[in-house]
Amino acid sequence: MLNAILNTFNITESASEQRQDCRSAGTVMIDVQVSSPVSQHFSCTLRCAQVGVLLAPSGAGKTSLLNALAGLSPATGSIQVDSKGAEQIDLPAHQRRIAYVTQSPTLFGHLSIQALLNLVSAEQTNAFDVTWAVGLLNLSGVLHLRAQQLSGGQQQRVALLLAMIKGAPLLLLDEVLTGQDHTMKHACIAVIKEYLKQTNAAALMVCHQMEDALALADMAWVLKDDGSCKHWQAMPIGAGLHLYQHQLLASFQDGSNGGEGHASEFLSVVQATTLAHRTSLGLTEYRLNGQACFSVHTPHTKPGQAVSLVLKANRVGLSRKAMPDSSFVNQWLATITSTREIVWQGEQGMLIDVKLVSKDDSDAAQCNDLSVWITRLSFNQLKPAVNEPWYLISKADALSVNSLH
Amino acid sequence: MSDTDLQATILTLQLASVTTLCLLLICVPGAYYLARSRSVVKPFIETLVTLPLVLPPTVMGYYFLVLFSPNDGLGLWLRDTLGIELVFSFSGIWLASMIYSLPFTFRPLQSAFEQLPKDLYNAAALLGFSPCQQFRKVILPAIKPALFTAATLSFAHTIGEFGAILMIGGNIPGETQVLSLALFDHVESLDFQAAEQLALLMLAFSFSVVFACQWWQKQSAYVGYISDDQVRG
Repeated sequence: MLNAILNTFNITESASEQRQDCRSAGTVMIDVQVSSPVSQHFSCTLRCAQVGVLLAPSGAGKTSLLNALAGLSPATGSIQVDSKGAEQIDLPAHQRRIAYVTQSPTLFGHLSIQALLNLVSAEQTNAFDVTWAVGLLNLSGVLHLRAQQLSGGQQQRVALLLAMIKGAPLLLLDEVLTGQDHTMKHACIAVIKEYLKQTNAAALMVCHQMEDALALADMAWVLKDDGSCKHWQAMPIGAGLHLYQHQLLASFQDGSNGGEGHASEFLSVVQATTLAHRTSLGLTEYRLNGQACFSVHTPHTKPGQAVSLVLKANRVGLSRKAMPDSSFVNQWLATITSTREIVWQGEQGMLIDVKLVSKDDSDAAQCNDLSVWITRLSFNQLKPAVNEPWYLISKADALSVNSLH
Repeated sequence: MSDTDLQATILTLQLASVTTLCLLLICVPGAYYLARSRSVVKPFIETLVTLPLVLPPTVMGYYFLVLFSPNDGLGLWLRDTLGIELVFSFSGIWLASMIYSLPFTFRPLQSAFEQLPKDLYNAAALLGFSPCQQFRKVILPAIKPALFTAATLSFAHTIGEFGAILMIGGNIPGETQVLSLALFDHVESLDFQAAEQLALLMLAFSFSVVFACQWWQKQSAYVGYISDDQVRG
């Protein structure tokens, strides 16, 4: 099933198309080999304002890769961050035009946050003005304090501000959203997006929360292991997430997973088209493989616009027949492609992969695979089998909408 | 206060200022290097630097005297080629004070450098600070309290020095006679009133130095870790 997905997205073609488009604009081109502590090869091309996410289990070497790109540890190869083609790999960290927000940032504790911002601004030849972001990141009230008096999340947001002041064409983000509460996470996402739009910088991020990856990134790099050397493979974010989650699943089963992730929260990303806003009902309607599909009203999507819909496996159910008299507004016909039992971290249940039936030929190329999480009890009662047609049922608020891609 | 006592006071202050200044110039880069070094000779250098703390000053003065005696060896060479005579001269007691007060300058600085977060250098580099700027604009401001402590301690300690200066400097008024030696002279000649004056002066000075040092450190710690609201409340 995985191969089918990868083939559908046709990785190689889309990558080469991108490369041609980007030559003119500010483009980040990286091709590096890192040898310690984990031997890995990473190559990527990022358009301006594009965000890539590195998806791999803990300990796979994501942070070492970012460190190497920023110049804190050795790497060989080539890093170019703008169209002038200035080679960054030979430069020491302080001369690279790469900004980096580390996982647990170290701020200068002898200065107030305001003094720190001033110091770093004074250091840059053309510093990016971040005053607009201070309030958004809820830092106005703590500018007179020192780093030690700030919470971890606040420190991370200050580090984000400092990295933005540098105004470099490449921004590296290591788990920036992890320590933030819900509101601040969205504020950070908004600030990062606005920053990338204003500066045309590209970003590479590491994060473990797949929702966060979806909110910011439009390309994914997934770590593939072929014996001697690990290499990062580029793919669209939906396919990347799918592959990464399958890697996690495989590691649940062979026991190599250190306790990361939950099988029941397996995310599926499907491609749909916005049809219309049903404002009076509080819904937005989409076409998903020619089938009707509803989310709660999302004013930011325009009719005709392609969107990614994100669903958690445990928010979708199975039904053998359509259920006309129910509150499940989404009832999509699908075919089961595989079923597997998962016992992991106190979770026990069945993860069922399905492929949406296409009722519209124009959408036939869309490869919309989903995963459904049901309990052992439901599985025993319903006895779903491979190749059988089933209805996927969900409520409108089970869908979250990404209009980014 | 007699003229010789006044002379001794001025000489002592001169000696302490020059010593402190020179020690800071040497110890800041030295301690910075040693704090970041993982060399095998690091423990030996640390021991050498700490040695003056436990060595009787007279032992050190004795070796100085032997080493720099202008009759032979190094002392002879120094006198003949460079025209420097260290024994019974201001430069002699200056050198002795430097070594005698070395641990008091070096140790606070080294521990301050070691206490800085390891990532501070990386963090500064990522924000575009070159190694030189890192040192000037980030590291030095961050260790300001330790610089203050090191300077005050070495100044105060040089003022209180006795044995080593007596050995290498003799007790020449106006040239090598510092306050502690002058006090010793007064006691020897049973002039207790003058001795009392000097002793009181030095006691008051030492007390205020240590007091100021502690107060300032508490003050800077206060600002660093407690918010303004807590201070006001």
